[in-house]
Amino acid sequence: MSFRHSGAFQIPVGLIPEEKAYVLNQLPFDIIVKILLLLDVRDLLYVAQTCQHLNRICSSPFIWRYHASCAIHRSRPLVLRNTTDLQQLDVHQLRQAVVRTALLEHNWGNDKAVRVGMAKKVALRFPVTSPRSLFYTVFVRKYLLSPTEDRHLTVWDLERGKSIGKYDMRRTFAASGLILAVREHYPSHSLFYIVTGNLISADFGHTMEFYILHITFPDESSNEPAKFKQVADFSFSMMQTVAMYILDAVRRIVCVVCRYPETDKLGIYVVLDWATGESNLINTGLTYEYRKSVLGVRLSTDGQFILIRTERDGKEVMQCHSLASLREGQSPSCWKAKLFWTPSPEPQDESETDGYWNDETDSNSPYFQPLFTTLNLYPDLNVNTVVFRCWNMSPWWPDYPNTPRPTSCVVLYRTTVTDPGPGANTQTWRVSQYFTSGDVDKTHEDGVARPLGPFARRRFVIELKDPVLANVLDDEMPVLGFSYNQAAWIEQVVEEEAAVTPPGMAANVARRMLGRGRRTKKRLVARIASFPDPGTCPGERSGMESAIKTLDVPPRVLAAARDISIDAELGTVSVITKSNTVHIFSYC
Amino acid sequence: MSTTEDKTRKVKLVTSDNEEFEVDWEVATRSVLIKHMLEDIGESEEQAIPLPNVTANVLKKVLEWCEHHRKDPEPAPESSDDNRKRTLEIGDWDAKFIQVDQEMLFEIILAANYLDIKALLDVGCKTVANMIKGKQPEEIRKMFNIVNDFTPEEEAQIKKENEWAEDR
Repeated sequence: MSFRHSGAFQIPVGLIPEEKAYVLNQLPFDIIVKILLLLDVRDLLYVAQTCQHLNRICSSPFIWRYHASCAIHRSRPLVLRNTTDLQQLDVHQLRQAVVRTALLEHNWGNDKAVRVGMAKKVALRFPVTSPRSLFYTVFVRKYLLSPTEDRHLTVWDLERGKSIGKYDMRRTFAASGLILAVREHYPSHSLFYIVTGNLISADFGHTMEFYILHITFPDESSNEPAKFKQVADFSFSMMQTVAMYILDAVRRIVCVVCRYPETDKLGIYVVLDWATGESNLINTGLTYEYRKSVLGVRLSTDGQFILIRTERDGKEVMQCHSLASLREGQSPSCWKAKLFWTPSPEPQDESETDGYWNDETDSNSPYFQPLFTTLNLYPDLNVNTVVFRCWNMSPWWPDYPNTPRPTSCVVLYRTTVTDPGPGANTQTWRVSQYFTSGDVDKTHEDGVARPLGPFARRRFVIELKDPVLANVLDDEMPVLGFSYNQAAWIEQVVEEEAAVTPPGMAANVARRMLGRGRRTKKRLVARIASFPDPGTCPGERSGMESAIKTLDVPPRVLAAARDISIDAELGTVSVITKSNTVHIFSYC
Repeated sequence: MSTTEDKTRKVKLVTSDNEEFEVDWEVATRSVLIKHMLEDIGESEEQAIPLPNVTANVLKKVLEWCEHHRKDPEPAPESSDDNRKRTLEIGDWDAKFIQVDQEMLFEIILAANYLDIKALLDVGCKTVANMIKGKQPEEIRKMFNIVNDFTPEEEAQIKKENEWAEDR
């Protein structure tokens, strides 16, 4: 029974009838848990501060695992710091990770600028290769991997601010050492990537050497260097190569997307195991056109199918091919013999392959509608708009039971403005993003497996207003960085300089008189956008919608920026300047 | 067992304070506990079901809910997806129904838990969750008569551990 002062008049204690003082913390344990699971993270933290008993219940790992799984379910990143299994984390670590994610999400909701912590500066002693490192630089959590001017591949530990390993490229690799594909292997804390080597022959469409390198990062606590290992090499016609993907680093599956020059149709050369050279060719029957099409190749969630996604003129087509049938009909290996292979002429395929979700079949599909109705995703879709680049990002966090692992697809479009007004930009940039499912429907009556529908119903479109551009090879593109669910870029904003009101003059009079001569100046700001939850549409109440926020990164750093990157796990934005210094800002 | 499905069948329930209620089979079997008990006793219709954990005034309220929801379909088995739809919305009728004092609210929750009426338990838990939502620790204590049993040192420590550093 709890004792309460009920005012001036008090009945002697013995006379109070057996009062049923129902107190929240006296409910049965399972009911309290049921109530706590309905609360969001902030409320949970407040309940934990009320009394001992509720504090103990709020500290049950069960509750925090539930919130962790909710966050992952909505494709929100958790800071797991090398943990491959959520069950391994103690409740304190798990709570910390969940609270941080929830807090960040909550803070996206207000319209204040995101405060960034003090910058940590890391000077790169080995200057990274010019021009801009887009093709060359890979950030993996606290590590930065880049070709350097001394023709090595160099790894920096950005937390300790020093280089922890170099790989000599002078003997085997061409000057470029272009990184074509990257695949992180979370459990072994390592990275696989395909890098270009030397040109072997100018015949057969410029046959090029390619190497698969495996780089293992040291444990956070150890002082060991990063380890490099060359695990496979092969040669291929460079001219016909559209893209390369490491589909599965554990099962050693890679593929080369190639184009038949006669028809522009796509073929996919799948290496089923780079150790044995087992391989087969898929003729997709799909057309690809440079700068007009978007392409993505990955494995299905169950690892049994190769999913191919192309997009052209605003229509998306998906196909899936079973790995088992590719294994059955595998072609003699030319991979192992290190013979180059030229995918020409186009083989005649006996079976016509169909794509799914062709937009024409379902014109009412809201799928291709942009989230922001004021923006047209494909403004005057013609020669003026090109697909500048696309990224297909897989979640990097460990598997969690019953949690989908959608791929985040980001496409950068550039539109040339044919008749810009005076002082207006000659080109506009748009970023479109959506989540797509890796699941395959095997229940269809004809027995043919089909890729399941898109994970998100709509696209999220950002227009980059006056972005800062940097050189990429022989072109230029915005200084732009992505994580699985964020984008960061640098923008010029025009600001009016505050007019000084002469003493004794009313402000409105001053504005009228002095307004004409008012000066404007350009200022650089860093922007960060968090992509909406998969499936969230405007007007829907559940889930997080997106917000574009300003990061208060000092303008002098932005003025020297040549690359920007986000690490959602650490909650940092890194800016590489032209003087080879990495400025790392923490934003949560 | 044919009569257990009989829509006209009446069921007798006896509360802890010895009050007897006669209700339709369809109404009473909203409670999974009562349903199972009826299956156990089978044909013997005359036998009253004792509910030693529920008082008459609470059972009256619970039966009011069961009466209104007598035609509701059986709740679907919980799937992992449903778990994540953490909506705190309550239907109009239920929201009116649950506008009771706190003592009755907790009694209803306990009764729904004991009688195994999932949908009613959900309504009760959501109501409590809505009461907690957006409140500071001290406000939560006040609302639910919770005694702060932390030492000042503990309280400072726990406050730090459970900090919510919102951008204001």
